[in-house]
Amino acid sequence: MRARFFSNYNLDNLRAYLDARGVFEEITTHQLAEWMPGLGDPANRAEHGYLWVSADQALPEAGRMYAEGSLDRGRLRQELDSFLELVERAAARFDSFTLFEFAIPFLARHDDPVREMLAEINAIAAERLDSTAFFHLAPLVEQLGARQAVSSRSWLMAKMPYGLKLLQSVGDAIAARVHAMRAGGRKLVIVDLDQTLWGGILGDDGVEGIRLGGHDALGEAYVAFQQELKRLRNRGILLAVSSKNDRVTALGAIDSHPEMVLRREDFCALEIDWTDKADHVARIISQVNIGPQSVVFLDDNPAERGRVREAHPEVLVPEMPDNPIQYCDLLRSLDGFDFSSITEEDRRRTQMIRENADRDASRGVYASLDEWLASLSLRVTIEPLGPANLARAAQLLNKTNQMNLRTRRMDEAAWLRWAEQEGHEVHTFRVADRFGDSGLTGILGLRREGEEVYVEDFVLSCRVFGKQVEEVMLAKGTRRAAGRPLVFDFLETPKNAPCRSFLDRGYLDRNRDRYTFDAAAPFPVPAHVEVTGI
Amino acid sequence: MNQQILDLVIDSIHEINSFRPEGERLDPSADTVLMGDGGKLDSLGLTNLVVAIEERVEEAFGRSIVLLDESMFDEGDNPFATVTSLAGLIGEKVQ
Repeated sequence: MRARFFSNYNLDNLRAYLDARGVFEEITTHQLAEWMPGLGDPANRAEHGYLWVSADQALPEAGRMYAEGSLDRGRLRQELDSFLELVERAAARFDSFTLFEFAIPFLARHDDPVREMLAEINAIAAERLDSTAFFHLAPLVEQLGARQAVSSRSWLMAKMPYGLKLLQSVGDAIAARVHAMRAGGRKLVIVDLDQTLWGGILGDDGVEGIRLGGHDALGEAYVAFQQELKRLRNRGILLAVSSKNDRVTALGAIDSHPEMVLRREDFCALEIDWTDKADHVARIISQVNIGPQSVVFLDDNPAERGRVREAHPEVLVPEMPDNPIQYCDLLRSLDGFDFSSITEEDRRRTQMIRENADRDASRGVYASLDEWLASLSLRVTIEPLGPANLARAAQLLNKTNQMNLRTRRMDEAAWLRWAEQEGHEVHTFRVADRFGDSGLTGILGLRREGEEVYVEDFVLSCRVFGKQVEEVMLAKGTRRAAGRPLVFDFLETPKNAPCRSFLDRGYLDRNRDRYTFDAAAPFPVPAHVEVTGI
Repeated sequence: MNQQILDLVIDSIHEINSFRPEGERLDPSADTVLMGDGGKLDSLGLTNLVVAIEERVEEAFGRSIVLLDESMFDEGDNPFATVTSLAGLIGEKVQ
């Protein structure tokens, strides 16, 4: 992936930091006086674009405010509108574009009126640029402390007003974001119980004896850690338990201890028995249906951490501090959680996965797969891509790895523009059954070229694999092709073998990586599925 | 104080190393050649090192010093040649 940076600052250090970590294959910088011509040049394209300019350079009126302390608000607003237009035009040339928020690049008094002005223009920019990501500098400056973050020396000697420590934080945040886009981000945190969610050993100390809350700094540290996990859960990250314990006793503590913040319903899976923790992790991954690269494993015991690292090298297993007072800091410092576009469906995901587990349990009751599928009362609603479903659909497009024909990654604005072009269309698939609503879980992107229709996106969440939603998507595609050949050009990745398995199911003619549906009649809708919008 | 200053330079080298590619990193030891024959410090690296050291000196000794003074290069010996010579220069400035 290539990146272009535009900045009135000297970005040599940031570039060197990102290069040393191999975050991008190629980085081009348009810096100092070059930032504005570079940004305006339509030839300057890449997958990732970043714009980091100071307010006084972007908006002359803000510069006057810095220098003279007076402000013409009307003029500032005009300049801001022109600047945001420039940003919007430039952003359209990138798959993802990030604007750094305007910040004060020097030590300023707490009541400096510049702060108020910057807050105002940041708010306007954030509202207007809905397809552009915002890079929030303030939290990074806050973490380091302004005296560590800004550097007059660095400004005077190298034209970069922030010190190396702040640039490290910026580089790490960019790397985490890029990693999240590539790998789909961390989605699940698996936690141990004894000495991790609470202090002490439940089997030895009993429910009354564990350290949790109370008038005790250590007990409060465990409560704070649970609160931090709960915040993650509220932002769409899944939680699960892996513990070597007596299941009944442990569930009793989770359900009944008065100071527990996390309760049974906060977890999508609870693996509590005396078997190997590597097996716990494998079972949870299988139940939740996500890849190991999306998982974080937290356990106070170094041997268990080592075992899980060895068995699941893609799972992130951070070192836990010896002192539980630092557990919260560890959790807050972990990179790679992708909260960029958390939807209502993410928040409901724990509930949906529990519903899935109920479905799987019900599977044993029926003699055959067909009987089981028929019993689900599956309903699929097909709708075109539009403003109402764009955020969720783009998230699905950018995170799905397994049932994904070409693993195309695009941000919301670029994708919508693609969908609106002549001959292009994108359909979304919402799936529900008698156990609940799985939400928007499928995408079909089509491109007509001459007498053929090419499938550009064939994406299905693993939550609804194997319920013949795939077949509904094929039925829709062949109807839209209306007798023309429907062509699937499979682009293999390390993770999309499930998509190949579907293509090889015998519905399509195969020639190497090209699969074609070329029959006069469209593919039939599966009998047990009720489809709206076919 | 000499050891404290040497440690301070070595800490600064650790910090700037994370901004350098693997083959270009400086060995964090007293004998390391910084500039001249065998030295790896380019102008960006020199600026980074100076900023990192000056900020650490301010924190450790409460003294604000200026390490880069063009006249110091005129007299032959470059005080930035090695970690040891640089530590010597810092020692003089903070006294």
